[in-house]
Amino acid sequence: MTDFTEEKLAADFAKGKTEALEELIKRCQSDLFGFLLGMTGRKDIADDLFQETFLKFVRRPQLYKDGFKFRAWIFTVAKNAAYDYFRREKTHNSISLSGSFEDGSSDSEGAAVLGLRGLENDQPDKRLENEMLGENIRAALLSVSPEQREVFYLRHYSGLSFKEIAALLNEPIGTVLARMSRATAALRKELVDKD
Amino acid sequence: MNEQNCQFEEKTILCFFGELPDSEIESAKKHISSCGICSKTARALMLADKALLSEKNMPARSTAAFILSQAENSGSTVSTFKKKALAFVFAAVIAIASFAVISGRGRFSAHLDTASVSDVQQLLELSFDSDIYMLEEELSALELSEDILESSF
Repeated sequence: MTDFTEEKLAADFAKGKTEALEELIKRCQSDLFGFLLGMTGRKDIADDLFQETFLKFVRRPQLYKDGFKFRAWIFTVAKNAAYDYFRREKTHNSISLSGSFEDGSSDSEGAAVLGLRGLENDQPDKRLENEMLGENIRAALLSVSPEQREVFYLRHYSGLSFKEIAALLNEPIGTVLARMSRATAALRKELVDKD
Repeated sequence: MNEQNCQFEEKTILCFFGELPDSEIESAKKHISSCGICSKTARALMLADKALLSEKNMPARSTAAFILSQAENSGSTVSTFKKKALAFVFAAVIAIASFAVISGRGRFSAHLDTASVSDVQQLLELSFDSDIYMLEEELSALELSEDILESSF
């Protein structure tokens, strides 16, 4: 089963092999969760959305059409789940789509409330350093639009090319690259210009 | 090119991710090394790659376990339903077959089960004769009644 492609595992699960699903989750969970964490900025929400995404597949495996890249499909479902979450949260008046709070506080303050910063005064080892860097990256990308953020995270986590991402998002590749450029500019400002 | 962005930034991004056509790679690398903005872009992407891919963020163990339990439940629900449906169909077939047998056998009385064809014929004839006799008796009774009625007027 470890030699099977994700597409084969998905097809096997659709035929009733539950062990195929276990292998699928094992292969996708880190990337998919990373994507959702990046999109939402919160581990608990990313966890819920991860569950929601996979349960959609579990309850209706026939929604995944054989012959298509499973990754492209599952990341599309995850993306839609993230946007549904944003819409729900917007009506509940918490974090706006731009990443700042409704009361006007900045996104860095917002990021602090989200628990995404705070270890600047420590002397971290390499692992912690990477974790801090990861948190800073997520905080920086929360300042750009969800559309720009999703292109960045899709490219990093899904393994899809920009052409495939453009097809997934139903956008021209020029638009996708422009969004990636905006997201990267925010990162450049946060990670490199501040050095 | 202004301070904030460079028109070649998208090519820099494509080059970083290995999606630039081979013919353009050399000129892109030359540009990156000479452009302040593009070299910072490449560095930011490198840092992001290193940090995000080394993180290995995972959902909670209970989440994956819950998903798998849902899969098992929906699978066993389907097989239970199939079993019940098969059992229902089987029971219906037995019921229809039994009804067909019973209604077929009901045309003869129980003690005729082992009767031969000639015996059955004799019985039917006797039964017919008996009916005729009874009808004749009734007709006679009616005629008598008629006579009584006529005589009374």
